[in-house]
Amino acid sequence: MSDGRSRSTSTADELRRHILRGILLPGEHLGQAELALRFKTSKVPVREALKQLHAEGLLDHDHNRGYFVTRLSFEEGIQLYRMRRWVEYELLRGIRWPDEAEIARMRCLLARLTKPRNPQERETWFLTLEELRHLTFSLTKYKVLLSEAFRLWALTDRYRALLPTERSPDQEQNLIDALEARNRKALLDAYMSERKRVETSLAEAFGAEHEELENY
Amino acid sequence: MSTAPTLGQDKDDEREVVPSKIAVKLRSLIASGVYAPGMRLGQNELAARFESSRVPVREALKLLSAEGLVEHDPNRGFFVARFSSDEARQLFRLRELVEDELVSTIEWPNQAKLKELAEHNQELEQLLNVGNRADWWKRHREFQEALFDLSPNKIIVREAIRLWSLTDRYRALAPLPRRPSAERDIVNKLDLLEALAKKNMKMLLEVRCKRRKAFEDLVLEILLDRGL
Repeated sequence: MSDGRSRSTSTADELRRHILRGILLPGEHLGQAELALRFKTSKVPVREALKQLHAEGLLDHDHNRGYFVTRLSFEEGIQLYRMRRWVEYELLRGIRWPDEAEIARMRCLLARLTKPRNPQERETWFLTLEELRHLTFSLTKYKVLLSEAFRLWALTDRYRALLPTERSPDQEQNLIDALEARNRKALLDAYMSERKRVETSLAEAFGAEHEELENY
Repeated sequence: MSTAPTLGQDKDDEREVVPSKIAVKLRSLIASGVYAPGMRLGQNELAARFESSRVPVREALKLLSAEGLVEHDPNRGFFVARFSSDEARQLFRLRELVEDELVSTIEWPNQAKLKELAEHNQELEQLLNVGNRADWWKRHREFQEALFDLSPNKIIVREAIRLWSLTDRYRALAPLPRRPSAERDIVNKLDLLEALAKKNMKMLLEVRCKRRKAFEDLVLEILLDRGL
């Protein structure tokens, strides 16, 4: 039985990666038989993996037609980013200040954030940003809030691929400067201005009007 | 529940009804405290209890662990999630953040919808009077869902319901208030319905805030009494 469980877990991991990297496209239908063939496994672990990803919000389910990769929409994306902002702002209000070693670690990551020129560098860029984010928010003692933030990060991951990476990391730098200066107001201001940029970029990626952004 | 005829889908769909049914029963067993916090949920025992195979039981457990009602340890299996005052405080704070934003985007219900909500509330009152905890719990959850669902922001609705059920499981700690009392006032929906009927957003937010605060105080008091 433990073999069956690990089968469905590894199938879920592989499927998730395919979705996050855009190998499986939004709206694509996922047939259980085809997936079983593709991942060289039986239908049982495939079905469990599909349910798992459905629970994570990566897949839609229709009783008659089966599973589909969830379509990306401005409405969904902006709601997810809004919730992220509420939770993250709350976390930043209460985090402890990082010590010297932690600041040094952040600066080191920041130095790695150079404009990506190819897909591989783009991947490094995302991973570095993720590590920086992780390091920052883990300064909280509110672990329940933090796990909610993790959950929302996983849900916004697919939208992040739509946002431009061709920018200088000055926003990240402002955040680290504020952390080092132990200036709460500067930290929250830097965070809010970064969020504003992200939400505007998202609206642009979907060609949404700015009034639409105001509606949310 | 009858099985709808399916198009081009294999017979697996028939079995798909089962995990959700098991999940509903498990939720109510956890809610009523039959399965207490920290208790191990053995898949074989549950399969025997629900007269099913292990596969739908495991799927139901996964569903509840995604909701946060059940905790999963890869080595030791599934457990009813434990209570802590620290967790409760953070969950209440989260609810406040998400619900206030959500409620401020609702579309006011029409007369038919208002009537439906009022009848739903009367049913809840009757269930309380007779002390039917399992049905009250289920219908109370549905009332919350109906309220949140007035907002067009369905993604936030989904999250709000999730967070709401995470704090709602703490209700299992308190006795079901059958007689008029301060505890019973906390679940009373009359002033909420009044705010909806009057389309008064300020009043609606105040009512939600007051109820949430009262429930939070009740939960924290019980948890602290028990040293959690």
